Amino acid sequence: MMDDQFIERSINDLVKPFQMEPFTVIPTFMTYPSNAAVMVYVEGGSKHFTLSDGGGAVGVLNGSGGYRVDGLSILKQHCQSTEFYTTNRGWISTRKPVDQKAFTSIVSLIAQFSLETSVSLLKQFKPEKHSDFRADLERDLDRRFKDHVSRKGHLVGVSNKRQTFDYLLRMPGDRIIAIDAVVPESSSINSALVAHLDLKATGRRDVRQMIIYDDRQKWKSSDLVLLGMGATPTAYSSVHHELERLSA
Amino acid sequence: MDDFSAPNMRERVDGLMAAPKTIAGEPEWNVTDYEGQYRWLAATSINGSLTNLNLIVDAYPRISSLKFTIMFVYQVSVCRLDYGEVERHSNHKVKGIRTPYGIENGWIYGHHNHSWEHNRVLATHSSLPKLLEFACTIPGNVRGFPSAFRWFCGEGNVAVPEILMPNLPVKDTIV
Repeated sequence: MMDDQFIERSINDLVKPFQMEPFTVIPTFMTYPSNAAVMVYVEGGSKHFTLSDGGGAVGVLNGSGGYRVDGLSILKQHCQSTEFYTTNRGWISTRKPVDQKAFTSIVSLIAQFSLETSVSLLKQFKPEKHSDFRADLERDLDRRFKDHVSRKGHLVGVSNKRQTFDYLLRMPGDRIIAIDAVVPESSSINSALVAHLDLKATGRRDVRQMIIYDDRQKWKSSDLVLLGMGATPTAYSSVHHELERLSA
Repeated sequence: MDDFSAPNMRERVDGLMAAPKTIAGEPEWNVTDYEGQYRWLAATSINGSLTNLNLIVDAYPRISSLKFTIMFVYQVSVCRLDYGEVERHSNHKVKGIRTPYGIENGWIYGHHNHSWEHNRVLATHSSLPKLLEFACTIPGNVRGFPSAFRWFCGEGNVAVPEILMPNLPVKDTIV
């Protein structure tokens, strides 16, 4: 036999309103895409009420890490031509006071609207792809060359100045591969270029040079041409083959 | 195995979370676009190299009960602690995903943590989940901001010296 009391008690517990001054908060059966409960915040007197989502919709966006998205603008746009508006806090709220007759109906409507808005906000959140080029390259070199990798190694250039390279690979037969990893910023380009030009001018036959650039980022052709004066620029995506060739 | 393939996104975050990290620079609280919300954002570094993993705290001092969120963000939030008596989260079966060990289906009432360990199953080779669908309660002795912050940083292997410990902003209105 079905335990009606259990069902009643469970449901009452789940959606029982509670106080959070100055609001009465009504939990609903609905959940946001984040699986957080949709709740309706109620403020007001005995006959008229203001209902809001307590920032639940925008909370989904913020909680997903989408804090760079202009949530307020999206919320305002979403609320246009509806009976709701967006407060400066990013809460979705009723425009007009709600009377007792419409109360429960508006609770359902605002909960549903908040849920739909959270979906729209999430759609606008397009995570930025980070480039971890240097870390990736370092891990690649460590995996392949293990103890033969020196970080921030020094070699003397034709100027008699000790130039610093991101990595020096000590290869069999006392050969060395000098590597710099560059990103499309002038300081990175200039420092690699100077070091490689100075080293290149020594004409050392035991040293091979590589400038690896992050081809997941946009590069100006002129910068790549400039780098080529120091050593042939190698795209990160093809570094595997190039290292195979140089270390052979 | 291709030695030179970049690790997939899940492995990348695994590595970032497991590595001992420190706070880079001196983070501070700032107001956000949302009235009444404050954000503390700290960059993290590993062996002196800056990572793209940020430690973020969102605080809501105008709300009468204590409410804050602490998260690690790497493109998206990769783990998050939702602190607040009124918080509610529903764990349920996610299509095509085996529910992680330690996750019980059903409602969680109050403070809870969406750990990377529990949510990494939602990541793919090329992307991270926008939503951390699995959560569990936080230990009973973790209560209040300083305790929750220290616990969260410990879980995420971030060393935060006392001098950089954030204090929650105080209520900024009389009303």
